[in-house]
Amino acid sequence: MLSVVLVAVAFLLFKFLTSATMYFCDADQVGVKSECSGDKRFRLRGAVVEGTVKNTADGVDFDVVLNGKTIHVQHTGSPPQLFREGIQVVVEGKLVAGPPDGGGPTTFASDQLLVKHGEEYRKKNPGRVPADAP
Amino acid sequence: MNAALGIAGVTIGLGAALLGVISVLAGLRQKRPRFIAAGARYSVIGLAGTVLAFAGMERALITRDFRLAYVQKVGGRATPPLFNFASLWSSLEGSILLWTLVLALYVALVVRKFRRRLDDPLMGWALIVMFTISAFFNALMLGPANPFRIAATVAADGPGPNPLLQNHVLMLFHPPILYLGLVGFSVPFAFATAALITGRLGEGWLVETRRWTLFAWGFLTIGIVLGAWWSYEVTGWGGYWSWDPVENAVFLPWLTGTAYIHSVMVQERRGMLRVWNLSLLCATFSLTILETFLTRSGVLDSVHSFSESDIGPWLLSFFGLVVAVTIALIGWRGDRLRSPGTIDSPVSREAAFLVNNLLFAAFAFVVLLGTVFPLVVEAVRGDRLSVGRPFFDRMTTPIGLALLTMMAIAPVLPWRKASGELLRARLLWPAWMGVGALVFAAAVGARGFTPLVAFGLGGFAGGAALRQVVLASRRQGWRGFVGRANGGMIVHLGVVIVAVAVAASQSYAKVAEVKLKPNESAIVHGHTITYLGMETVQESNRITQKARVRVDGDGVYAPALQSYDRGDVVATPSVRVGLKGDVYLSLDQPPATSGGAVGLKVVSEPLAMWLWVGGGIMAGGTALAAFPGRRRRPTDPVSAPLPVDRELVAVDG
Repeated sequence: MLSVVLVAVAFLLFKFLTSATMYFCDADQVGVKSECSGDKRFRLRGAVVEGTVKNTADGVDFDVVLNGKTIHVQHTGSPPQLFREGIQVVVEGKLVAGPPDGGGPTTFASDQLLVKHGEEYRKKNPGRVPADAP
Repeated sequence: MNAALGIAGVTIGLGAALLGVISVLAGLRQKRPRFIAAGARYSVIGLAGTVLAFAGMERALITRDFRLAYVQKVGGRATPPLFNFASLWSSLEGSILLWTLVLALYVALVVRKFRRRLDDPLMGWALIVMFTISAFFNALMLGPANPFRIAATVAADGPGPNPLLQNHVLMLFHPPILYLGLVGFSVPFAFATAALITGRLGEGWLVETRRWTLFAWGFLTIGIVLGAWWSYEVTGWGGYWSWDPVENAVFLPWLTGTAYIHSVMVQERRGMLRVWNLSLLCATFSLTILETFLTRSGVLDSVHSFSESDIGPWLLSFFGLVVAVTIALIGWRGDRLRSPGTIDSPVSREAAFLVNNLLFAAFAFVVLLGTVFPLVVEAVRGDRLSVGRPFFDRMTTPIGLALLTMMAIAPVLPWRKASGELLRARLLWPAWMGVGALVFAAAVGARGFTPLVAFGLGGFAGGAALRQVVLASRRQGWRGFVGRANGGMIVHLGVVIVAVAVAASQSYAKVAEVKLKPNESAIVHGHTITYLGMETVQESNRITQKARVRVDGDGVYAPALQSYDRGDVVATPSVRVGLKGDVYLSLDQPPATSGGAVGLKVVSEPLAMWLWVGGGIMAGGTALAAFPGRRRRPTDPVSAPLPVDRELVAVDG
């Protein structure tokens, strides 16, 4: 009886834990690692490509690049005051258009945007952010 | 000069701790009280050494001695004096120094308090444990976390402490208070270990350390509340608790410590739960070490972990050592730990405490799991991931509600056994208060299952606590407010207020972003927000851009962005505090041109101020609980050589 309860509790814990985990993916891991593909939510990091930033009605669009791979980001919400071209960012959201071989650019819809500046990321939203981004 | 002073101080601290261990150990072995008394005196020498080191570091910071690597890291000519003083604990090495200072203070106070009983083996072993911990922290400062390292290169100026740490006055108080709490648990831990080593596992050591535990718990509570407040006032995202690993790291020892101060009453009263209590204390102390490891080793990257160094393996090894030694000791003494009593009825005070403890343990386990899981995955698979709020919220909400329920029922339960009629009679009007709270909340527009349940249970638990306070004060006059049971009920009232405020602010907070031109208004969540214009203030170390914003036509608030000379920009929100809820303003985007539009974030945060009020009541209640009540039994002095079967005598206290 007790063991059944324990197994059930452990199962629930694991279920909640995995459903609430979010992976950090480098731009070049998108579509390569299973945690960074499909319709999963994840955090994507890369550098904002110069000349790609466009303000939109509900946010900002730009490209990020890391290790030679570029991802197009559509961000909803106003970007932090430090956001500008060329800096490191971490965006949170999911892929909305498939990988390059499926046609069209890889597009990532984000609703949270964190900016790296100096030695640390500004904490705009809770969560763990890597400080060793290249 | 400053470095030499500091190194000398740390060396004295380490030497005194080591000599203390040797001297007390020798005194115990050879039964020579003189050696123990000498060992105790090393606590004063150790304190003097650490004070010297602290003074050396403050002197270096104040005189801007940029030869020191640490001053180069956190010091700055432009930092205002008070923040310059506090910059000592704004990074790794200095915070280890502060930790050591607080520990040295505790050791000296314990020696002073128990000065007449130093030849008691229990005292001796407690001293040895505390000296050992102290030696470890002093050794850290001579090894991987040396605050007095001379920098390789010369600098004329430094960046000052992390801007997030120098734009609010709370930064002066939050770390020292937190450390008074965290380090304070070393004292009961030392006594628990000493009880295990000497085999004197009766209730003596519990009673002796009761106030020390309360003291530590009270400061830990204040420290956590201040940290949440600081986060609310400074970080600008509109919340106060984000289940950030660093917050969790401090919350964990609080959870196990809270479980302990409840279950310890069962042992004092009935002699039960001995293994459990020892385990809880050991867990609490180990978790304080884990806290320093998590926050100071750089394994986490968040706003708090502004320090990274090679100290990690040291702290992790120490943590592992503490866990291994205490588990071995408890296992070794297993035969003496069997409790002389059993729980008679599931409807009794002791059974309620047991349930309360299981809930707290489950709470701590969930938080620990969510905090450590990403680290384990990263260590094993190399993937970086985070466990988000949903996990913590979903797991801890039911536990929290169950705890509220227990808070309502447990205080009215008698020891040993309660009858149904008694329970009904005593819970009648607390239950009506619960119903009243529920109806009132629904009447003023509260919706949603979880918050309404929380408000109802809050009323119920508050009613139970209030009932106890009223009855006690009717019976005992002003003494009805002091002593552990009565003060504990005041703490419960504070907890209820915090719980209601958390439920309201978590469930009904609303965020909006607005763009306004000068003198333009917008109505956000029922509040009229008018942007009046910008203002720029130049200070010695930063430039502040303030947006002047009128809220509901009555007051002008100034959410700001501060650009520090070191290159960081920090948002400083401005909050209109109100009894019913706060209006929280944060400057998202300053205007591009002088007459341009400003981007503001407006958060309406219901009942937020009651978090801090509730925290204050919890602190006040703890102080009342530590005040000696009238019915305090004369306790057996630690020093009295105890007959082995004394435990059996004490059972029926």
